[in-house]
Parts: sequence; structure tokens; C-alpha cells
Amino acid sequence: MRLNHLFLLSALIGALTFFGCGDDDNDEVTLRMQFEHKFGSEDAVYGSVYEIDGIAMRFDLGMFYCSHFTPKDDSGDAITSFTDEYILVRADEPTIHEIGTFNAKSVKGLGFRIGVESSVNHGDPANWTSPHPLSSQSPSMYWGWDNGYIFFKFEGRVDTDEDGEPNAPVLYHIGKDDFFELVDISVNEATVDGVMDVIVTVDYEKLFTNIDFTVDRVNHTNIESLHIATQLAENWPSMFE
Amino acid sequence: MIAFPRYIILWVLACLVLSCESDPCNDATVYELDLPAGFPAMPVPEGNELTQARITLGKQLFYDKRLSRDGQIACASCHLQELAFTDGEAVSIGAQGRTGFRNAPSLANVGYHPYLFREGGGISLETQVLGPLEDSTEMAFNMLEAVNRLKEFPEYQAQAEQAYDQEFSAFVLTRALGAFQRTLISGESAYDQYLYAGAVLDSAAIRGAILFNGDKAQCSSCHSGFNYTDYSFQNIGLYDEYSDLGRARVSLDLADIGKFKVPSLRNVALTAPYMHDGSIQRLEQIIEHYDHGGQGHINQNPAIVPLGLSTDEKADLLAFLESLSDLNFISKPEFGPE
Ligand code: HEC
Ligand code: HEC
Repeated sequence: MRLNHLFLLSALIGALTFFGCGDDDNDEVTLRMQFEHKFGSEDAVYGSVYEIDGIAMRFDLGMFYCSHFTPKDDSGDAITSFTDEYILVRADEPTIHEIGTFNAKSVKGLGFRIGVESSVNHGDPANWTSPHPLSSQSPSMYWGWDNGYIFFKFEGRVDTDEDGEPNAPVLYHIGKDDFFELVDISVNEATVDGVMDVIVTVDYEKLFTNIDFTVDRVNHTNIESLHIATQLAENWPSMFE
Repeated sequence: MIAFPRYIILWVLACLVLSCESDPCNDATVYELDLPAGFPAMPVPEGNELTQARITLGKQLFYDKRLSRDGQIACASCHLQELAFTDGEAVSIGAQGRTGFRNAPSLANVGYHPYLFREGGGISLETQVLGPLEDSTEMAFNMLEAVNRLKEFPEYQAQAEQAYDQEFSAFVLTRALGAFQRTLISGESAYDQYLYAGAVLDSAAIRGAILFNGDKAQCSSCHSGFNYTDYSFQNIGLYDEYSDLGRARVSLDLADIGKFKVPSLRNVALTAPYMHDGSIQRLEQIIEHYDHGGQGHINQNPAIVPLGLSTDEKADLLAFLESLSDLNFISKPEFGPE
């Protein structure tokens, strides 16, 4: 670009910012999310053992999808909504997930959903190119025999013979159109150089609220124990802070 | 703009010069299915139109044991051509000798199925691949890992480029398997020859066909059309209590307990044992089951009632079912391993 064009352009941008349309103190914000995985106050690490209600539980896997990100202003109103963004959170991978860029005065809240919406849920993972979160994953996040995404996967072992050692497998593979649960968290992070890094805490202990996890240990969102799957999904929103 | 026509000329020359055995001219052109009389057009998903290159790649994958984690199981291990692509077992045996809980269905005319698996949870032949590939009792593998393994083989890379114009991926793997399976068409049974080619058929089989389609036995109320299925989910009262819940597993609706996709009856004399769990060994026993009227499960279809069939009528029904075998289908080299 020639110099005088550049000059004209910057003058124009300057003028637009200066004589803006009332939103003059809005800043461009790039929202990013990071997850801290916990059992209560302890860091959640694969292979480690935690106590839930005095019962030993080993943590082996935690993975879940988030989508429909909605940053909110100080009166709780949506600033914008990112409905085509999907992230796959893995407790073994500290990842910074970039959500999107928008204009805002301040961001005080963030809404998002666990899982993927029904129109995407029963699509074909092969239509997404690896490493897109909706492409095939290892471990798998898609049911081959009942085509649809697993929204939330938790795996571990629990002490069922009361010797303090986790022995029996715990497998929760949960997902279903109705379980597209809404999570709402407050945001206190500041924007630095146009980037806001929202740190979300995930507490796996809260997954087990009202769950008799020494008995109802395995759930693939099946009809025989759908009430347990429903309870697990209802617990999701309380896990996030 | 001169380069374009020049390429075309070169290509045509290449086609003319090269022998058509390796057929560079036809690899990418649309492959027309040779449909038997009475068969409708097969729906083919957008982006996976049939070409020879896709079908060839799909067949290779179908017979490739490297699709399983331990390299011991191919699709063809449980879908054998000589058994009309079933495996002769009550329930299939997969990785490390682990047994599944279902009987392997025939893949004849599977391209016409609007959904896959006995409870209908597979939405297409493409996504269906994830079922066996990732099932711990079948191939016990993972799609991502399978793709990473297979893309190391230059012949697969080259075929992927040729067939789908991209590198080997989950997309290529699943599309190609879908393309090959859509060619598994069976419509040349003795009964087809009788219907459409004026061939002679045993009179017992003809009487059996009339019974099958008539009001007395009502078989064709479910086993209807050119593929002898309406693809609906039905409970035929095999049990008064089903340990395999069938359709309810995906619909999560109690009214669907014990309902399974109506199977095609083509080649049925070649595909024993029968039913979703392989619990019935012989066709005679199936006829007895229907004549009896089922166990009276709460979701049992009202058409399943005692039929009052005579010994002769049962023999006629059996003769008809046996006339549905297509011996060409189970011996065609196009479908077999190289
Ligand atoms: C270990 C044995 C085994 C292997 C290996 C296997 N299958 Fe199957 N296949 C089965 C069984 C059992 C079923 C029935 C499953 C069900 O309905 O729940 C089935 C069902 C199917 C169906 C659905 C048919 C219908 O009528 O709905 C298709 C298509 C299919 N298999 C293709 C494949 C392909 C492609 C592969 C290789 C990627 C493969 N199978 C590998 C045992 C196997
Ligand atoms: C209400 C629908 C319905 C009617 C009527 C019906 N069938 Fe079936 N048939 C089915 C279903 C569903 C299955 C599979 C059940 C299962 O897997 O548990 C089946 C299975 C079969 C099988 C076993 C196929 C296989 O590969 O496992 C045969 C053979 C058969 N039926 C023949 C008949 C005959 C003969 C009649 C008439 C006397 C008849 N059917 C009437 C729905 C029906």
C-alpha cells in the first residue's frame, strides 16, 4: 500500500473511533479460556487418588465438549454469542482455547454449554479435518453404534471393598441432545493487550453430587440407568467456576 | 489458456496408449451399479459418488486386518463372502477372542438400508465404520490411530489421492468402505430368475411365496419389497423378557424394548444362525416360531399370532426361503479378497 493511502486509512480509522456511534469506549477483546482441573482444592491429575465423601477415587480420564460461548456484560446481557465454536477440554492437556474476538466495554460473565447442539451432534466426525475438536479423537468422543458425540467422559476407579484402594472401574460416557447443559460463570479477569484469559475451574468432586458412585459406576447413557445419566448431566453446571 | 486443451489431448493420448487394464481413464468416472430387475436406484451420499478407484480402495480396507488394534481382525473376518457376508457364529468373535452380543447380519444390499445396525443407531455406511472399528469386542481400535497407522503406507496414500483427491484420512477410510459396501448387491436368486427371467421354480417354493405374501402368514407385512424388509423396528415375541433391549437402546423409549430392524431375507438359507442374538439355528425353527405366535411380549407386533400352518405349508415356506439364495453373489471375484 502506498504511503498516502495508509495515511488516509489511519485518518479514517482515527475519525471513526473518535466520532464513534456512542460505543466509543468499547475495546476489542479476544476471549480465551483455560481450564484448571480439581478435586475440591487439589489439582486433578491422571492416576492420582482423591477422597470423595471419604471414599478413595482414582482419576483416569476427564474430557468434555464446550460450545455456544456467550460473553456477558455487567448487567448480565449477552454481548455476543459464538455458536460455531467447539472446544474439547482434556484434563491431561493444559490448553489455551481461543474463543473469539468482539467489542466490549467489560466482560463480567460467560455462558457456555456442555456438549454440542443436536444439529451437529449426529453428524459425521470424518467431515471435520483432524485436529478439529469434532473430528475423531483418541480416546474416542463419539459413539460408533449410536452415532452421536459423547459430551462428557469421566473414567477412574473407586474403592468398593473398603480397603482404601480404588479397585472397581468408574466409567461415565454421557451425551444426549437433551443434556446440552448451560453453564454460567462470572468473569473477573482483566483484558491485557486486548486479550482476556478466562480461567475456569472444573471440580470433578461435584460430578458425584447425589450419585451413589460405588454402585452406579458405569453409565453409557443407556435406558436402564438413564436417571443416573440425567443426574450426572444436571451436576455439570455446578462443577464450573 | 493454451495449456488446458493441451492437457486434455495428452490425457486422451495417454488413455489410448496405456492398456486399459490399469484403466487410468475410468478410475475417476462415475461407476454405474448394475442393478438387478426390480431394484430401485440406490441412494448415494453427496461427496461419495461411486468410482472404481473408491471401490477398489474400499475393498482393500475391508480385507485389511491392520484396521484392528492387534492386526488380527478385518471387516471380512466377520463378514465372509461365502456366507453372504455373515460369519456363521451366533455372536461374533472379535479382538483377542472376545465375544460381542450380536449376530453379524448379511451385508447384501446394505447400501439400501436407511440406517445401520439392528437397533438403527448407525446413520450412514460412512459413520457406521466407527462401530466395529472402536468396539472393544470387534476391532478394538480407534479411528485416529487407525488413520495414523494406515497413512504410513504409500499405496494407501496414493490411492487416497487418486480416489478422493486428498491424503489418507478418516474421511477417505470411511467413504471408501461405504463405496465398496454399496456395490454388494444381490438380486440373482432362483426366485428372482423365476420372477424376472422366466426360469422354472420348484412348485413348493411358488406356493411358499404365495403364502409368504398372503393374509394367512402375513410375512410380507414386514419382510416387504425387493429386499424383503421395510426396515422398520419390530418385536416378534422371541422372548417374554429381552436381555438385549434392541431399538430402546437408542430411542431410550420403553415401548421399543425388544424391537429390531426387520432383516432382509435374501440369502437367508446361507446366513444361519439367526436373529439378533443368533439364538435360532435353523429356518424350520423360525417357521415354528411364527406358527406358534411368539412369547407374547408386551411390545410384540399384533401380526405375530398363531398361524395354524399345516406341515405342507411349513415345507412350502421353507422352500421359498431357500429359493432366495444368490449363489453368484457369494462367489463373484469382485467381492472377494484379491
Ligand atoms: C468382530 C466381528 C465384526 C467385525 C470385525 C466387523 N463387523 Fe460389521 N457387524 C458385526 C456385527 C455383530 C454386526 C451387528 C451389530 C449390531 O447390529 O449391533 C455388524 C453390523 C455391520 C453393519 C450393519 C448391517 C445392518 O444390517 O445394519 C455393517 C454395514 C457392517 N457391520 C460393516 C462392517 C465393516 C465395514 C467392518 C470393518 C470396518 C465391520 N463390519 C467389521 C460384526 C463385525
Ligand atoms: C411384525 C413384523 C414381522 C413379521 C410379520 C414377520 N417377520 Fe420375520 N422378522 C422380523 C424381525 C424384526 C426379525 C428379526 C428379529 C430379531 O433379530 O430378533 C425377523 C427375522 C426373521 C428371520 C431371520 C432372519 C435372520 O437373518 O436372522 C426369518 C427367516 C424370518 N423373519 C422369516 C419370516 C417369515 C417366514 C414370516 C412369516 C411367517 C415372518 N418372518 C414374519 C419381523 C417380522
